[in-house]
Amino acid sequence: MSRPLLEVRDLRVEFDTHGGVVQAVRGVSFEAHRGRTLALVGESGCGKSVTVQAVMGLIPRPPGRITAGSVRLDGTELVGASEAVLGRVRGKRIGMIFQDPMTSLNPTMTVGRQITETLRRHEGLSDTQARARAVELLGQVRIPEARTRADQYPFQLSGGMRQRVMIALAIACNPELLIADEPTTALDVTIQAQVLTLLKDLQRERQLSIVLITHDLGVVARMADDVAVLYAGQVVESGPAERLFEAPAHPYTLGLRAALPDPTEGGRRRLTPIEGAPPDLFSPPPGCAYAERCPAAMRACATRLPPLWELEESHRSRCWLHHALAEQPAEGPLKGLFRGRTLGA
Amino acid sequence: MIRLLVRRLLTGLATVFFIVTATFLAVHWVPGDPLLQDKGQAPEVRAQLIHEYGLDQPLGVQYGVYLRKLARGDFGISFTQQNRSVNDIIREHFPVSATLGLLALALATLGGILLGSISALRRGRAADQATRLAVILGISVPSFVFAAILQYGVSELNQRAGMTVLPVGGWGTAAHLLLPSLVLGLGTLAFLTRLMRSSLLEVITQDHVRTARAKGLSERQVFWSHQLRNALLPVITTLGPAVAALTTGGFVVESVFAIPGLGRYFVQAVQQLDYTVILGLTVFYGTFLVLMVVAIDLVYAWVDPRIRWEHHG
Repeated sequence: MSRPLLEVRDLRVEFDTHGGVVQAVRGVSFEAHRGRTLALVGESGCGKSVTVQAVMGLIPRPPGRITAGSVRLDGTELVGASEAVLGRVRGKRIGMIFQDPMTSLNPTMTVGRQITETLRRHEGLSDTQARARAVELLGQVRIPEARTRADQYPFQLSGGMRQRVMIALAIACNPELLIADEPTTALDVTIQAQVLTLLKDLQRERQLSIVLITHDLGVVARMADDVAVLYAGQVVESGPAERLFEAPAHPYTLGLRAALPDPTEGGRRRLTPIEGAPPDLFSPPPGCAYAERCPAAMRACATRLPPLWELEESHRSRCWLHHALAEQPAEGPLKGLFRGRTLGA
Repeated sequence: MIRLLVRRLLTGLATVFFIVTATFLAVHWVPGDPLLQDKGQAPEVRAQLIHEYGLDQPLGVQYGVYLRKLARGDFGISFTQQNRSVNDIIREHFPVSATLGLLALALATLGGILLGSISALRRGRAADQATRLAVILGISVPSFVFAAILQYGVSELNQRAGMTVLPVGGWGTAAHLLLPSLVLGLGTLAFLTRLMRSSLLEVITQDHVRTARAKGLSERQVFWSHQLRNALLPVITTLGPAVAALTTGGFVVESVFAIPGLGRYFVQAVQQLDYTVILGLTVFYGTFLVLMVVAIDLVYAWVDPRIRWEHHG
């Protein structure tokens, strides 16, 4: 594959809190390719939102800071870049959609003005031009009577409508990359489907790269070309979406899949939750973060961090069971999983 | 907007009517005699006065007469200064109190918004710490203490300079306004600073501010077009009562700085149980307060579209 549009390498982010320093992101790496959708998947607090905020340079300082790593947008380094440089990237080259459309728009400004603001900033349009473009954009995200809607305030629009406004705002300046942080979590199911379809269509029309943050594997299955599974501030498995659904390699990904209902079984199987809770990120364990909850954990798992093994072209997994000398589980759900997928030391 | 205005004015009218009635009953039920200050009064003179002021009529009739006069804008004649009508007292002295009050309000509002913003944007740093300490002082130290300290300092300065740099009392020129309006506005300034600080701190963490940053706006644009306006909303709501309090409540400051404002008359009237002056000034102040609150409501509706639209249906 050609050079990725977005390349995140070993990103680390910390936050100062009253309880101490939280290591929210602990060496995350992934890449997003042109015209494709990468899903960042993980449970609450795994660092997925913090990761994309770091990409945008939106980590509030203090209390947060990026302590290491690199974020390259088409080769341009964004970590440590000046506000002037970041200001030309945000909204222009990277558009962003947030989770809650109820609170993400300014309640005292018409939605039209919220869109023209970014057009005037990046495209140098006049008021009239920007206004015409904003109405056009509202039409493109399928808001009926766009001209009237442009003069309304967020509280006059429904949740789904507001999220469309957010999307119009994010794509206003033709960005190459769209980051969507749980874009459908706050919407009801039918609206979710419409918003996802809209995102897909926009991607096709504009060759957009999308980084989609979600904890909903249904959304992943529908949208993603590539997936990176995050756990406790690290990527535990990444690769093409089909590979991760068909042949997950990490016990955590497997656990997530087992916790999903399977329609082919007619709902007779009991769902299997992952027992326990993620580790405390004030003092993360030195070894594998998932070791405490992993049914196949070995002694080494608790003390030594496994590397991200490359199992096949772009499919990677961070687990000691991939080691050639690891004793493979003889029973349970992980039995036989790693046969033929081990690598040398 | 018109609808909102009419509705607010009607409720305001009801409030004023209630104020009139309650004050009327209160002054008449308070024990004491407004015509008693002249000890050597002949009984015939006294009877004559009682008749002239209508005090020999039943209370209900007096109330009716008062309301009828009030509807024509006539507050009646003072009991203690029998050559002056209450209207004259207000006309002569209210402009003084109002000038002082509005200047104090301007200082308090601009200063409060400015200091509150700086304090919030520099949260936890030296400027913030200093402002917060000053706010506590401003709120807890009474205005006459500030007045005394300032007067002392300025008169000391005048002496050193060998000339009057700034007058420490009296009324007349613009220079006379500076110290008293500063002293009068200080408490409100401190209060508004604190309000602005907490309001802005809340707005800063809101999602839509993050959206504004994600659009690529500079910090300056984010502040002016997104944070400031939304943070001002709670400040605006408190301005109505603040206007009234400052334009009418400057009695202490007026007396410390020897300013011929309305406050002095009010206090005198209460001490002497001067029915018409107490009633007149209370009703006047009450109406003024109601009007200010209505005005602020309109400003609020203009700034916050949610309020504006609520009253459309």
